Order: sequence, then C-alpha cells, then structure tokens
Amino acid sequence: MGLSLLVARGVGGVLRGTTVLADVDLELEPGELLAIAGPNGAGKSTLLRLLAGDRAPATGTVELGGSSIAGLPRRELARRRAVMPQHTSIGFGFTVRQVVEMGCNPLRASYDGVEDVVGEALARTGIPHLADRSFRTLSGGEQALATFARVLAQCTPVLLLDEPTASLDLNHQERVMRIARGVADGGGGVVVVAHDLNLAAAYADRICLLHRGRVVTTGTPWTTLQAPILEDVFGQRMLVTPSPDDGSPLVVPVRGA
Amino acid sequence: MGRSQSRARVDGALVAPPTLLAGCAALVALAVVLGVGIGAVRIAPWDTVRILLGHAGLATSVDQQQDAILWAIRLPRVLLGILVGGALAVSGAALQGIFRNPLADPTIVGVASGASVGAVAAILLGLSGAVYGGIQIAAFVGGMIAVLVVYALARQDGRTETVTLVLVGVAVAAIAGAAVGLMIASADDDELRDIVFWSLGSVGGATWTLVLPTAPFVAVGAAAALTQTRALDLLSLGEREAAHLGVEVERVRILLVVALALATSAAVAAAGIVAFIGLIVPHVIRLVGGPSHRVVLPASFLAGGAAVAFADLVARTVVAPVELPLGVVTALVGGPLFLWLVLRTRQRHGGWA
Repeated sequence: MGLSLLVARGVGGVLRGTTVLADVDLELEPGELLAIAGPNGAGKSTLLRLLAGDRAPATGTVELGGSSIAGLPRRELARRRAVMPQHTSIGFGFTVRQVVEMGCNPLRASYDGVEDVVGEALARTGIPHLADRSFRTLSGGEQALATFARVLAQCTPVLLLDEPTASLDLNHQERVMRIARGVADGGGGVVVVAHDLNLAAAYADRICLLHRGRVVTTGTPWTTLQAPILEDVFGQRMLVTPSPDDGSPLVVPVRGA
Repeated sequence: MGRSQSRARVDGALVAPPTLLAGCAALVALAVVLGVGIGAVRIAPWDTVRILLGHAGLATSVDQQQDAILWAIRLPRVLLGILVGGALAVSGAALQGIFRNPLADPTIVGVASGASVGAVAAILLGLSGAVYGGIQIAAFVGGMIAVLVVYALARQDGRTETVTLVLVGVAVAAIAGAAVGLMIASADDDELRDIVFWSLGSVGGATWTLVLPTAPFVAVGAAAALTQTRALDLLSLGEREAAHLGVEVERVRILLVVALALATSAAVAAAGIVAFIGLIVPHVIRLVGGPSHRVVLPASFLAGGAAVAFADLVARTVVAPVELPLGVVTALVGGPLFLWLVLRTRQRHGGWA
C-alpha cells in the first residue's frame, strides 16, 4: 500500500482572511478514482487547487509521487499531475490538435513521440474528427472533450479534474467519466470534483464528502451517500436506493410532502 | 460552399509556416530594393546590388553619386523603417499573447506614450548628443514605467478585460501626453523643432548615427521575445492552465514585458509613434499563418518591417517633393483595415469583449 500517488495531511486553506478549508486528510492510491463532493462553497475547488499546487496550503502538506509539492518546480509538477479546469477559453484560433499538443509541453525535453501521444489522446476521447477544427468553434461538450484530451496528453500518473462534467449533456458526462474511470483502471489516480452525486456514485471508488471546509466522511459510495448524512450536509431530504442499472447508490431528493 | 470555405479559414493556416516566413523575407528584400531605388535619382536594382557589394569590398566601378545617395541617405532610412516596423509588430504580437487580448498593442498598452515622454525629456536635457543611445535609454525607462503601470492596473485575478485595458491605456496615454505637452511648453525654439519633427512619426531623419544605436535595442528585444514563443502559445490557454503545464508564468511575463519595452522604446525614440503597425500586422499574419507564436512572432517582425519601409516609400514619393508624415500613411491604411477586422471578428465570434 505505502505507495500513494497523492497524500494530503492536515491541509487547510485561507481565502481573503477566511478559513475555507481545515484539517483535510486525503490519500489517492494507484488505480483509484476519488470523488470530492459537497454543497456549493464547501471548499471543493479550493481543495483541488491546493492538491494541484496552485498555491501553498495555509497549514499541512501535500505530497505528490512521494515528494512535497512545495519544493517541486512547475515543470516537475507538470510531469506528475495534470489539471482539468472547470471552464476553458482560448486566446486565439488554435486548432484542437494544437491545443492537445500543448499538453505535451512538460514531456518535450525528454521525449520525441509527441505526435503519437496526441493521436492517442484524441482517440481515447473520441474526437479525432475534430483535430483540425478551431477550438473556439466547438460546442461546450466538444471543448470539454478536447480539454480532456489535452490533459491526457500530459501523460501524468495523477489527474485532477475540476467539475469536468459541469454544463455537459448526459452523453458527454458519461463519456468523460468513463474515460476517467479508464485512466484509473490503467493504474493512474484520478481526483474528480463532482457536483452530481449519482455520477460520483457510479464511477468513484471512494467519495470524500466536504461540508463547510471540513471532511464529513470519506469512503465507498454506499458508506458516504447515506440519507441522514446527505440531509445534514445539503439541507435537503434525500432518498438513497440501489440503481436498477448497476446497483450503485442512486440519490433522489425527496420532493413530495 | 462559402461557409465551408470560411470554416477552413478560421480553423488553420492558409499558408505553411516556411512559405509564410520566406514570403515575408522576400517582402523585406523587395522593400529594400525599391526603397533605395526609387526617388528623385533612380537607382536600378542591379546597381543597388553592385553598390552594396562595393561596400562589402567585392565590386568596383560604381557611380559615385548613386553610391552616396544610396549609402548615406536611402539605405539608413529603409533600414530604420524595417527596424521600427519590426519592433512595433513583434511587440504587438507578443503583447497580444501576454494579455490574451487581440487589442493589445504598444500604443494601447502605453509603452509608446511612456517612451515618448522619456524621449522628449532626453531631447530637452540634451542627452541625444551627449550619451550614445541616450534617447533610446530614456525612452526605454519611460516605456517600461508606463507598461508596468498599465499592467498592474488593468489586470485582476490573472485576467485582463478588454475594456479595462483600453481605458487604463487611454488614461496613461493622456497623462503621458500631458507630460509631453508640459515639456514642450517649456522648450526653446531649437528643442521645439526637434520635438515636433520627432513626434510627427517619421524615419526621414535617418542617418547611420540613428540606425546604429537603435539596432541593438530592437535586436535584443525581438530575440528575447522569440525565445518565449512556446510559453506564449501555452499562455493562450490562460495563466493557471499555462502554469499547470509547467510554465513559470510570472517569470515569462516579466521577461517579455522588458524585452518588448526595449524594442518598442527604441523604435519610438527613433521614429516617433507610428500608428497601427503593432495592431494590424500580427492580425494579418494570424489570418494567413495561424495563431502559433512560433510563426506569428518572426513573421510579424519581417512583415512589420516591410510594411513600414513601404509606407515610408509611399510617404516620400506620392506628393514628392513634399513628404507626408509616416504615421499619417500607416493610419490611413491601417485604420480602415482595423475597422474591417473588428467587423469581421464581430461577425465570426460575436466580438472581442
């Protein structure tokens, strides 16, 4: 077990003087897809930023591939983890292929199979036909897939995805999550900030439920997604039932009287 | 049919990078040959080549009068035009990349107006004759201060809104204009003539003593910018994203801003403010060669140089012997072209904001 890809210990974050995250412990094993869930403002995105090394945590430490991220130069960080942002816009009319190639930047110095990597990333996301289109002319779902291809082209053992399925239709949501699942099944580690509990339940090995900047519980979908916990965290009565499809927990808000 | 054609245009380069660069280099060569050949005394292209070879010690028997006109008057003027245009265009291209904003350009971002304050101050203090490159250094200091002020004020959370950028740029340019005005008010007649001549935007006064101090500033600035083309490509994804991909964003940005202030300030010090080159040339290059900065930066340098050299040729020949100010010619051509670009962009992408 000892070889966790990503370890956070006692991590806390402060935003404009307010503590938005405190005492978060997290471990990501190879082959694991971990979802971070919680209501708006729970600190999910802040946690992802700290895990990504965007800024230093106010307290605690984050270790990536065995070394503290505080001491790693940007380029070395970029070889160990890739980050998919919530929204992507691009300054100029680059083609999808050019955007995906940008993902290979950290590899460039030591590797010359960039074209193969780009081709594989396009194939895995199912968008080879979009390769020569301008990124800006794509639909939201296509842009998300192209950005995901860019993230895959970075060839890192750890992927950090910040609400990758926000604003995507059902088909694209499932596609993105299937690919993420595939990365984990291939021995990588994936952290997904998830808004959709059912999507998290269907694809994640473990769910880390955040509330007001603290971890409420971390564990398998069935242990974390329990009606009393959810009602407490989201302030909404919930019904949890096995999905008729695959038996994973299905969370349904109680709407009737 | 028309739609699929325009799609192809938006999506990629119309011309492969080597072809584009070769074409731009050919334009520069053409600008040199025409620029030194056309005027009251015409010099045929082959005579031009012979005279140039003569100065390299490789040919004999050239016409002494033609030689003097070409070497002492026209060549420095053409070369200064190329340096000025190249510096402004490459600065515009890189600034647009740094700000992720196609409206950025040396005049809008305030480098040019800051540089003009420095240059005018240097003229008043008599630095122009006293120190080698004195005007250039003073312009660099002014340009640097202005761009840093605009940079600090227009950015928030790692982004630059177009409207804020333009407004801050306008304010800084106005303050710089006021400073220049104050200095002009306190200048004596000789200084006044120098300043007015300079501020019209012209390469007409070019001599080797003006070209030689300008060249190293432009060369160093442009060369430094050219080392950062991959980082500029990555920056177009956004600062956070570029950092995720291993770019030391802050370091790259500071290096570029210094490099561009260097090149632009030298251009402004030598030729005043030449309008629209930094804005238009990179746009046209992107339309033809695609957005990759590895192409856009060098091609903009060459095309910008050729554009100013040609504009100067027009300025001194259309109503000869009277010379039009260079800035007037570039604005006459660049203004309408820019309007067309704005309308076109609004149609395609719903605007720039």
